[in-house]
Amino acid sequence: MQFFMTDILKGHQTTFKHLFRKKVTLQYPKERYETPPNFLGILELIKDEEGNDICNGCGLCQRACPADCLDIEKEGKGKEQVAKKFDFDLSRCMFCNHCVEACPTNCLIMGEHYEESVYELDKMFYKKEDMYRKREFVKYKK
Amino acid sequence: MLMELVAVLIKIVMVLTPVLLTVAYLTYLERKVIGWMQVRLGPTRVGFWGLLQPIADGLKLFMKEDIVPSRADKVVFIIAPILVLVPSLILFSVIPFGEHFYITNVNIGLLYLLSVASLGVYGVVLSGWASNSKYALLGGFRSAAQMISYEVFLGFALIGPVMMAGTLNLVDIVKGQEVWYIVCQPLAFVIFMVSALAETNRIPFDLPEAETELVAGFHTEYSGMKFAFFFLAEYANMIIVCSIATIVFLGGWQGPFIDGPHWFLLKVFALLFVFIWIRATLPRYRYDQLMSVGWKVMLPLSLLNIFITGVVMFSF
Repeated sequence: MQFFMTDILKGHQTTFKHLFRKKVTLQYPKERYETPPNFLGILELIKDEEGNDICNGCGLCQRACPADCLDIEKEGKGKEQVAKKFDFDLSRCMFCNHCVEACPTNCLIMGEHYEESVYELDKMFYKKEDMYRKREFVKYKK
Repeated sequence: MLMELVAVLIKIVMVLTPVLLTVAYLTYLERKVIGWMQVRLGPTRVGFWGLLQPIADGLKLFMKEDIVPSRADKVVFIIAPILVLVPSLILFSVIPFGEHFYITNVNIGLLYLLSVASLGVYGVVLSGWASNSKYALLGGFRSAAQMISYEVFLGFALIGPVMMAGTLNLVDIVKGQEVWYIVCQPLAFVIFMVSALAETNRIPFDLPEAETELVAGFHTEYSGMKFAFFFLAEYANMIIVCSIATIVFLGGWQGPFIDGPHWFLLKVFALLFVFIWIRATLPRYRYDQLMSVGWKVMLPLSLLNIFITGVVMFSF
């Protein structure tokens, strides 16, 4: 029969050391991890420096999307071609980044925002102007 | 006559209220310390630093539905938690917190503590029986076997110090310690602490309520206030065994600089911290290991301790 006396003492030493260590718990709504640079958050459209749309509505992202969450219609010809409709269904999106890779104008990005819980499903359907919306983390009040 | 009665009642309230509050906050301390040892934060939400958590828990248990299983033995089912809680609370009547700070001073204090503490087993066994559930029944049986066998070593461990003190009166035992008995009786102290862990059903000897095997053991079917009674009793028992260890081995209220009751509390809480520390460190023993450690190791060691104490006392 073994007693493990030394091992028991060693174990107590370890737990006692841990008593004073910095805690790893992150109190989530109050404090957040910084998102890494290649973080895949919610899909966003960006504009150029003058505030014009970069997206030309080519629809490559729509074709690349495996979850079929984009619906795009274009308008105009040649250099004036723009996206008339850019509908995005967040409820279907699986954050695979395929659309961003397919985009020839680099106007699609997966931002660093990830908190978009809503009470109604309708709020997960994004129109074109919603895609440009600046999203901010909700400050936790309590 | 009436004045005496009132004085005793005031004493009882003065002792019981802090004891019950301490029991409540012991759960908080345990959660916090175990959390820290596991590099977590422990309770933080209710009140500043989670300080109101025990009160919230108590309120929750108080509001909860009090379920009695349909096939349970109703009368015994209701009596059992009371049988567990009452002995552990009336034990505080003889604990001397300071030289003049106790409810009553009986000259067989230690015997009283041991005998009344052993009554708690009845409640546990009866609750296991009355629940009409296999988990509760097995938990109750285990608990009975464990508590009864470890009571032997608990008693034997205390015989050495009692031989040195020559009295069972707790106040006199403390007064008799010029040198704390832990210095002359280290083996007895270790045996006492290990059997105290087993007596109070704490990890690493928490077989009666081993979650992985028995759900919650003897209190599986209990909810609401009855469950709270078991919970309170467990923590009150912890305070009791730590108080006994303090009185018999650590010199009770004696100590320099600060006055008696504070020293007493300090020592008790140091021992309680050790209990929690052990819980955060060790896994559970197997049932046969528990029994073999008890009967094959602790019993010979405690007898050896008594023998050595006797020989030393006889020859010097």
